[in-house]
Amino acid sequence: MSLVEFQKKPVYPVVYMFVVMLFFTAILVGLARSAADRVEANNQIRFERAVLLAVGVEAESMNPAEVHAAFVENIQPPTPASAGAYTYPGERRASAASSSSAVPAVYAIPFEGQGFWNVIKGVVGIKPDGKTVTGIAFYEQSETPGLGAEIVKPPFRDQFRELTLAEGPALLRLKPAGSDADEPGVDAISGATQTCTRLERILNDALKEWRSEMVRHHQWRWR
Amino acid sequence: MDGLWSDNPVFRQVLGICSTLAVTNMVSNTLVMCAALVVTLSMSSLSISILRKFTPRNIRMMVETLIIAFYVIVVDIALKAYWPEMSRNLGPYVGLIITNCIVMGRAEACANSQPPGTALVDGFFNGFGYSYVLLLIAIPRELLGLGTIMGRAMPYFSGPHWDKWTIMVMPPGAFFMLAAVVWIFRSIQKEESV
Repeated sequence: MSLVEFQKKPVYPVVYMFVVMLFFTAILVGLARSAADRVEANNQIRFERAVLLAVGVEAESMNPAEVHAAFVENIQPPTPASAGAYTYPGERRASAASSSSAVPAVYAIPFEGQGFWNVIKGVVGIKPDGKTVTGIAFYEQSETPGLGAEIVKPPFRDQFRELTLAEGPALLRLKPAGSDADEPGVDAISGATQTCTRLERILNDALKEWRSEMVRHHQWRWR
Repeated sequence: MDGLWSDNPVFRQVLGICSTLAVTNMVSNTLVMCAALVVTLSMSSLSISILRKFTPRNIRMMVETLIIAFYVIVVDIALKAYWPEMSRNLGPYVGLIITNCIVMGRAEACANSQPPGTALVDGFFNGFGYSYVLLLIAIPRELLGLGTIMGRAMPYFSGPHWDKWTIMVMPPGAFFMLAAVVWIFRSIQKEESV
């Protein structure tokens, strides 16, 4: 049977669709597999850079190799004693290493939650006093470019350096335009109300959970 | 080459408006989106044209959608692997190229019935026609709304004397700019035909 004759058969569209689908899908699977390691490595570098930025290391202009080296050298993985937070021994690294019970200079707490469009994932750094934020960085977000996505830019993130958390139900406020300038918190992004509202909730939940975990399970005292 | 002016996909055919409105609040995102669309439109038109004599008429749209999705996913994987920063900036908009009416519109209007060379050129120039219109919309939006172009601060617009028009980087600003561009270009075309 020739191709022309087969094209007249009722089963031809089904066979054709199946063959075309198989062909293109096979190529895509091959491409995805060959790029999987690279994509995973990119994701890991993004996370490591966010941890470094949150604890106060200037990692913005580092290339991926430098980010990874700085992360391995400076950041300790989460332990039960840190309630899931990464730790940065800081400049007391040399003497801290000799003492297993040494208090780190900064705790880096990963957080995630639903933003306006999709999940927002980031890291917030907090000092052992439990109320001084050292910095914040994001490693995954799909907020609107130019509006909600401005949360990753230095003008927004720099507000979190040396920020003191409030005492009360809301540890952290993202203040909309027109709020009292003396009210504790950081300025929200104009035009990104939903992103800021959701981020405020995500951060408050993450910080409260970590603090209560440290107090409840480790009899931790504010320093 | 009609896609550049007389049959421009944005202001004549009024296609691809969703992404026109969505990505044009920043010039850098617009450039990458345009490059992705030119590649996808050209390659999918070429592929659809090559297969046109084998594709049954009654399932041609399913095949076209499959081919368009294939090239969009290739672009998405390439961005995620080799330009992760831009992949994050564009986010869901790259995947939305699959639903961009220009690609399917040109597949139906040209690629289905023309030889591969013609289809490739048609896709390429329609992609460029889309691109320069998007850039004409994106540059004023970013300049007036953020005071920058390609993230670089511009004199005066990034200074303290310019009160940024945040609305320009929000959806209403996109509609205003698109309407202005369509009005201006159609007025020019009307004068040309007189």
